[in-house]
Amino acid sequence: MTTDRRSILKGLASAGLVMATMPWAQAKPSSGTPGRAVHGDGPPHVTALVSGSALDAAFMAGVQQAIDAPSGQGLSAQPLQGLDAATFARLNRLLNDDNATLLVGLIDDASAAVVIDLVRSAGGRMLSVQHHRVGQDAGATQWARLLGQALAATQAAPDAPNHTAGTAYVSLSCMI
Amino acid sequence: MTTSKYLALPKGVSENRFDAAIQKFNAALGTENVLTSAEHLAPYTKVMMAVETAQHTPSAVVMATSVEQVQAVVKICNEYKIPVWTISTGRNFGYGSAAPVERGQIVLDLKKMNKILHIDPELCTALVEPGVTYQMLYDYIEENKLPLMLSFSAPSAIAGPLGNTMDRGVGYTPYGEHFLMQCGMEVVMANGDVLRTGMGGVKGDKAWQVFKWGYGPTLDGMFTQSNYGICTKMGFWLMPKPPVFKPFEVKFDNEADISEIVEMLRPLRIAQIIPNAVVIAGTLWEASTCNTRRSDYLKTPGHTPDEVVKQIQKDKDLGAWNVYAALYGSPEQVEVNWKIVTDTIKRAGKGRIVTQEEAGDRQPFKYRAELMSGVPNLQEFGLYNWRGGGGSMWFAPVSQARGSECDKQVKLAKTILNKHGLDYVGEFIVGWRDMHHVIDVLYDRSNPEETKRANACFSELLDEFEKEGYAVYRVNTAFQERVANSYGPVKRDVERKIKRALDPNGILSPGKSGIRI
Repeated sequence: MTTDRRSILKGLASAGLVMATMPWAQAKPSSGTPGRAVHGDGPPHVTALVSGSALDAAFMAGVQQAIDAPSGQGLSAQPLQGLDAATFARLNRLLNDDNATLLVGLIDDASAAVVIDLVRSAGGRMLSVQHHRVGQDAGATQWARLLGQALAATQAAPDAPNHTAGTAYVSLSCMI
Repeated sequence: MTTSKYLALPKGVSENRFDAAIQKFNAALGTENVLTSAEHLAPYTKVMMAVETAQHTPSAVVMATSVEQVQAVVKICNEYKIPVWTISTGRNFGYGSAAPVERGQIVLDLKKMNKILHIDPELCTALVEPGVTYQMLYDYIEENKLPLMLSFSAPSAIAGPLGNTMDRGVGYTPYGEHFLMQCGMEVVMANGDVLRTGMGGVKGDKAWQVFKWGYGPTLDGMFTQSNYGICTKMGFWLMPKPPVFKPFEVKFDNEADISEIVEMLRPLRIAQIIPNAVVIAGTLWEASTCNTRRSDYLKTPGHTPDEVVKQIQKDKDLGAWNVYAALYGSPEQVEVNWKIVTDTIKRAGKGRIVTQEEAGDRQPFKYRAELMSGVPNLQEFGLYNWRGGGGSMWFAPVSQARGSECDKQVKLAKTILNKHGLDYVGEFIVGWRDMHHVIDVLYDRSNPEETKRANACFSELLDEFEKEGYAVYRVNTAFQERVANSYGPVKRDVERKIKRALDPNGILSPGKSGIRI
């Protein structure tokens, strides 16, 4: 990862709940990520959601890796402010525009409750939703990266390193 | 188990017969408004209740865009004996979310009927369709600079007035008893008739949204928390925006203060010195809504010990009880009432008053003030992060607004919750003369053992509170049958007779509030 991209991702993570949109059309297909193609009328975008946790950067890096965009290129960020209604109104507008979107996320339970309902209202298809309890070690970081990679490639999520006393997360993947 | 191309089938309906019904839905609504795939249905099966998700899996989702389409859906459901569970925005969350009460029911989602039909800024009335959200109304009022104020429940931004009122939800402004402020309904009956309540049936009438009672029996109430019809339009009253809004908080340091708080505030509430519902929130409720997680303090399972709760209270500068209320009116009115309120609190010799000027943008004061002034927000969703894992069931017994009720209820609830390894996360809402004790039974739904405990806990709460003469005013779909029993056999019998008369095939939301043919 280049310094520029790392600083972008750190910036995203520190902004609380963060939504980064990566135009799919700008992503080059990479070898070893079959099943990545997303169907839809228009060029689908990948939208990644994180919510200010220690695993944000790793998850985002995984997503970025899956779409294989050049460093920093095609990456735009829209910082969202926690549970602020305006934040979710923006997300709602994005879900209801005419562009096909693959929404992937590793977020907290509160954000997930709202996001899943917005997806329902937008007529989206829920490809996967899973609850996790994850620690804060290197294994968790690695898992978050692989998770981002898998969800953005519409592949099965890797098994989480289950820590019963760990932090609760929800991973999700939806097609709008 | 036989396999089916559908995620579930309505009880007693074969796959072939369901195929035929789906074809008719497609013809009546368009294929884009009929969903049967697992991926589309997944968000409609998501439940926060401590039961198997499969118990509430729908067989299909159909979306209507007009009253005529709702009539068409009802006709097809009658023809094929398909039970239909209706939602407006489906944002009932801890009371059951969008999922049907029984596996196999189809969901009629009215989200596409989302027109604000009328807002009268002089008479302060509104008429809306089911899919209208509070955020849409708020935006409309703001864009048109109307001098009006909304009242809504805590998931305000994404919930809607029609659904919330039909479920007899409450809000935090002086208009917070939402069904009291409802005025006029349009209801599609099971036989396809369209009923307008109140003045709505009078040709040329203009008083539908201003006079609730009409002539003869007033029917509106029987359509709330029931399954006698599908509400497609609802009128309600809006509060004129007051020149002055003064929210305040009073923090009380000791858990034992709760009785005194209620005794102190009730006279002010009944006399309308404080015109909105007074909220008295416990420490963990407050902590959760200002982004505190249990895992910040504890890594061990089970309930949170009192000493940890005390530590959180200290760290976050919270009270053991945190009272929120507001004053509304002209500067003169608010000044007089503020003096009465502050004098009352001073006389009590306890309680720290916090004004908006002192609180600034600090949570949870900020979101409480927004709720009391009709500004939508989502901050209370923070409750779901307290334990994590997505499980939530509201337990909301009703009682008289008396201090003597509080101690007893808190002790009973806390003992039961802690016994099951869960936390007391609760608040009291003091209405005009009643009190709702709202407890969020939060648990980790991804943990099957904890889910089982949460279910047992909720059952025990219902049973033990009932022994003390309390019943809940509203409950999630998994426990509606159980709660119907709390209200006695005669009521159930009358409800069943009405159901049989109005919906002989029992197609409309069978099981809602325990009502069936």
